[in-house]
Amino acid sequence: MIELLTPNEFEALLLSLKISLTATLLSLPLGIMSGWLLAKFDFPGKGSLESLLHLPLVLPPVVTGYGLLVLFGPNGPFKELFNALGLELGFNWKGAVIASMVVSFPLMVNAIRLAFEAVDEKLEEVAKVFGFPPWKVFFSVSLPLAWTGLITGSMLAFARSLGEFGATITFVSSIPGETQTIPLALYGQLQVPGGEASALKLCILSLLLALTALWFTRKLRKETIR
Amino acid sequence: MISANLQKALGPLNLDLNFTITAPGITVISGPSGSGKSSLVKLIAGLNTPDSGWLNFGGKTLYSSALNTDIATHQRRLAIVFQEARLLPHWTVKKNLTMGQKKIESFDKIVAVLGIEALLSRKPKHLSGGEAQRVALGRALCQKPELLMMDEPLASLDEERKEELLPYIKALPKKFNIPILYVTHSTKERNYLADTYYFLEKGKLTMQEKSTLTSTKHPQHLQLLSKVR
Repeated sequence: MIELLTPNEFEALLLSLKISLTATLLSLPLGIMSGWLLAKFDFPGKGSLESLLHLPLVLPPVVTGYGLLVLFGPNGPFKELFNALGLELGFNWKGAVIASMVVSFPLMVNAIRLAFEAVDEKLEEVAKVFGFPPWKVFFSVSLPLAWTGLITGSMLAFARSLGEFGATITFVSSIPGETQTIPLALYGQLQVPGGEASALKLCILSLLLALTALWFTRKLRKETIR
Repeated sequence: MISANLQKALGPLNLDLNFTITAPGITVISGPSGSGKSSLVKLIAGLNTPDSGWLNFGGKTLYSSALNTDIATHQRRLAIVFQEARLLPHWTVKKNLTMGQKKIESFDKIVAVLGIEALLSRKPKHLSGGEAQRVALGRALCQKPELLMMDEPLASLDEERKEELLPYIKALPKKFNIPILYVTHSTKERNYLADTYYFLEKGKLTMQEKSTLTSTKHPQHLQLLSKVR
């Protein structure tokens, strides 16, 4: 398998997996919190928060990427904060993770929110009556019963990250071995003469990755629904 | 002992509850639909917050608008059996009974009295309605609550299952030494279970003479009577 791929293509594959997995895992705690807040509570500014969270879904990814570049790039307003933290986001894989997180977050939150909304409040009430403090109600009842939503949300976010192109190329460019994921490599190959064979391989690779992710999700859901 | 003076406006209904229950055994509260029976249970459990008043239970103040006290539901040491079993679907019957606690006093006795030994390792979706409701009853007993409230616990079951469960409930106060507040609109359940009996109508509670229990009067007839008094 490895010999079928050139070092460049193999690097793109690893990078795609690394960036998408990191983005999904980092988004998950925030996604759970936001989904739960939106599902269970009414608070002032809820509408505005919802619009803000959905913005990356309706904006062209290039616009999102440009926004990220302006905000978090080497000359952005947060550059001193990032310097102090020793965090450099511009033109490296960490920036690509941020781009993936931002564009995939609404998909994750929506799935998780729906799952929390579907949890029967009467069951949460029972847990309260039987002596569970609020944190325990959340971890013993709400979260396990919303489990399939967490899986669906993570899957959607992971898939969206795998396919991420516009925001990434705008924010962190297409640097082989650093930010050049499969879609960026594929696009790059199409720009050079004789790159078609490589592009086809990357295309098939994408398909295989997507199918594996789907299969894995189905398996996880089945396990928990049992 | 539980004593309360609670007010709560619920749409067109003005709940004004003023009662003291000192009697051990089963106290039945009945009344027509929409009279506020379930709201009463929720107010005592702290699932709904009253507009004003106070609620004392076993020498503790659970709620007082004057003192600004409102003990959270999970600290009230009550148990409720609802109309639906409300078992947690991701847990086995055993875990539903213990609610995750390691050691339950008289667990074996409760399981034996309710006849649910064979169900312990099942998930709730594999239980019949009657079985699920017995498990819900067992769950309530396992908590060793200071008060057990039952809100129409038999209403969603067919006649046969009702007949099957009534004797279990009747025997509970003696077997487990727990006072029970039993809410129902069924005359039959009331007559069979009540040691003390209150009638709730339009948000007001009135204690009824025990003699009315033995009569087989139609519920509406009873309502008329309570108006005359």
